Amino acid sequence: MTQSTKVINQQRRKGARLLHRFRADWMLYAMLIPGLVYVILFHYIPMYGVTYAFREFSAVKGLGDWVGLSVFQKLFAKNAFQRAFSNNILISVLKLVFGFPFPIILSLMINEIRSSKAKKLVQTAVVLPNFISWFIITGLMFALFNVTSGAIPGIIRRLNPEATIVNITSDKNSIRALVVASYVWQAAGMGTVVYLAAITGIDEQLYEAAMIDGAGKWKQMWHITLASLRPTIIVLFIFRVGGVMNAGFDQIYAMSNPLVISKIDIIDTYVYRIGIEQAKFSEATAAGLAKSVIGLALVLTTNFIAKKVDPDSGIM
Amino acid sequence: MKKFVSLLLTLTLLLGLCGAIATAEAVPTITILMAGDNTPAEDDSVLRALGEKFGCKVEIQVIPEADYAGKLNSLIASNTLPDLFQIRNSVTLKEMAEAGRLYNMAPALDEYAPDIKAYYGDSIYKSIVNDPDTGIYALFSEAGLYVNNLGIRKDWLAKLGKEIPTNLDELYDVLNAFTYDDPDGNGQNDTYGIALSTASSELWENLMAAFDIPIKTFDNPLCQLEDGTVTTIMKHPRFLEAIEYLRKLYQARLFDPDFTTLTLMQCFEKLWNSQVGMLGFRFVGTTNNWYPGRYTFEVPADPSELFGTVYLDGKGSIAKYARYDLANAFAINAASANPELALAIGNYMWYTEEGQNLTYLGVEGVHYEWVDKEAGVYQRLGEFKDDVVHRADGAFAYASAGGYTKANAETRMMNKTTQDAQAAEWEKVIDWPFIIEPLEADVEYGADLSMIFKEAFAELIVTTGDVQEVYNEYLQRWLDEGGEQYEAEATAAYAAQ
Repeated sequence: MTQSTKVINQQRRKGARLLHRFRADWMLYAMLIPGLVYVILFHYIPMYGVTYAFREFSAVKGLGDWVGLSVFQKLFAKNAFQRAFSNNILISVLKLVFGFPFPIILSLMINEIRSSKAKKLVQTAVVLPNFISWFIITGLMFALFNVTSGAIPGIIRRLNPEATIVNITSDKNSIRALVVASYVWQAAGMGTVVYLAAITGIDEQLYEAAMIDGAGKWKQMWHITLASLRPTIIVLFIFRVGGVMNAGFDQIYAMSNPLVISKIDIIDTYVYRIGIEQAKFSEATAAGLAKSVIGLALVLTTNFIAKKVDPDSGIM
Repeated sequence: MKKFVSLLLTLTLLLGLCGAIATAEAVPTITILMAGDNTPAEDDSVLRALGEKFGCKVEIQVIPEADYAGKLNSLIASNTLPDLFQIRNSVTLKEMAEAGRLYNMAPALDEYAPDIKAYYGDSIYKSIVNDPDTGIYALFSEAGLYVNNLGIRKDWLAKLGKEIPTNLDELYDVLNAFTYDDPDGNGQNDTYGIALSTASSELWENLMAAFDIPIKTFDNPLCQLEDGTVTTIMKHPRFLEAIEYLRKLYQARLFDPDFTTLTLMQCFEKLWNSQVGMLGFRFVGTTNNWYPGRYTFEVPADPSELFGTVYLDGKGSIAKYARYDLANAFAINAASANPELALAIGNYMWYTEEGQNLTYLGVEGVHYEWVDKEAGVYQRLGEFKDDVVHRADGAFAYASAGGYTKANAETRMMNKTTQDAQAAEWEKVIDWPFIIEPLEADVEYGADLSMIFKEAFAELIVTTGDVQEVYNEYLQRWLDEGGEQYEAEATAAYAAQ
């Protein structure tokens, strides 16, 4: 048998194995189809749209000539974009720093609740805010902090009738803190779901062995729970870093007003303003593309660092 | 058995689809997109009545004013425009006409839109896209009807022993009394002098006009300086004087300090709930459409007993720029399958008395009945006495094509208080530079310049820093970020008009 015949036979066997596997598990493969269709339809086909960033485009007249990087040059030169870009980075980093560890801490705390009924109640309570629209949350905040009729200023006035009350929803100095705090409040509960599931999978014998060795609650949490959660934390961190440029359009759009927009205008709200309201689709695409490229670079960098620190970590 | 059931289900689905196709072919659907802040039901009595009259299905989507530009831009870009739609800026209007995306109505006017033809006559060519040689592509609105009135609660004035203010000092005194002297007599400190919000420039029109400043919009508002330059109102010689006055009101808490987060509707609600004593808005709302249904306190039958109008230093609000609102137009999609039918429906809805009665009052015998048709007196029936229910069933919401025609039901049935207030206001309005032709600088820098103005206006009122310094900073930003080019283009375009 010649070498080439051997290769052909090997390939045939491989093909036959694949076909056999497909026939055996066709139902599992069929379940992939909706997901694939979704990704192709909503993530890959629209990628053609990135060409708008390199071409003239008018909503009325359609696509025009290729213009190279001139759209990017024009966009990056604009003060409004520069402001949105720096706000975007700052708000994203703040959300990452304060928002990422919070679900971990919350999961560890929930895990320590002994009563199963109380545990379920707390779990449900912390997850619920995730299902409330940002427009509702913002409405609640406006109502709570309204200087005239809000509950919080009302309490402050009761405690100190002479107090100078500032509405933090329209105060430049406090708006970023409010954005981050409300984000943590809304998203932390949902973030605990994965961690609590991972904690459930930790072998109970590890805790028993640690107790025999004299480890207290704190040491068990540190050396067993957190150590076991490490791969999950790293994977979620990489995903989170990948989405770090998504500073939260809904939230920022709902919370914006003329007094605070200079502090919280982000790339997405800027893109909405120039893209949808002003029909400058090329500039909006260029801004979105720049944001995505930075996100990709951050994912790759984080993944690379994670691999260096722990070869079993990372997503690829 | 399973195969049989599957086959049956598939056939049922296919038959349903065929039925839908057959229905779609039998009854054409006319889709209309317009701006407005009422949200009627998708299938309401007015739409059904329109459909029955024209033998088709009529679908009208009413988009909130603030979101309209975004919605229209998306539909234009995705090539999914409705049959009939509103265009609210001259740039888009001109581009669409030039790109051949608007239907030429000229050949069809005689047959399908005789009322439109009779109404406009040769005036129709005032639009930047209509021309006797090329065609008629847009129906613009006669907008020179409603101006803002600065309304004031006369019962509050009487209770506090005050007179209608005639200048800015007297206004401060009245606003102070409205805020701190318990004008509603409930023993609580729960009122403000005036309702103001950055949600709408209309609320500020009369106050700013007292300083000769025409704040027609928050989107980069313009004025004309003495040397003829058309520029941002930030460069108006009295701009900082006006800001200082507003700061004085703000610091004394004579209007709600949360003015940047209040919506326009919340400002109206403050008037309806007796929480403010003044509101700058068209009296067609204050003393006509909201009266008496929206007010939550007992009101006299005659609105003139409750509301008076304020003219500060003899000035009113801002004049509408021209008899015809040239930038606010209705057009028909060139790709429409039934452009003539769309034109006929537009003609009926907005240019005939019968169509206006239907879209404004609703279905006769269901929503309302005439008391004296000649005099324009009617009464609403049953549950439709409630404004919310009335509008949810399609009445009122589709009546305005962005402006008002002679057939307009609202103007025919307007009460005397409102008519008198409007007529008086027209005598005192100040002028502002309306530029008809689209500016290149507006396309390029308009969004950024608008944002700068909105930020500057709010910040200057509340800042605890040096006002002059903050002002200089914003003005410099305006000039640096395209304002200089905007100013040059606007001045040249206005001079050429």
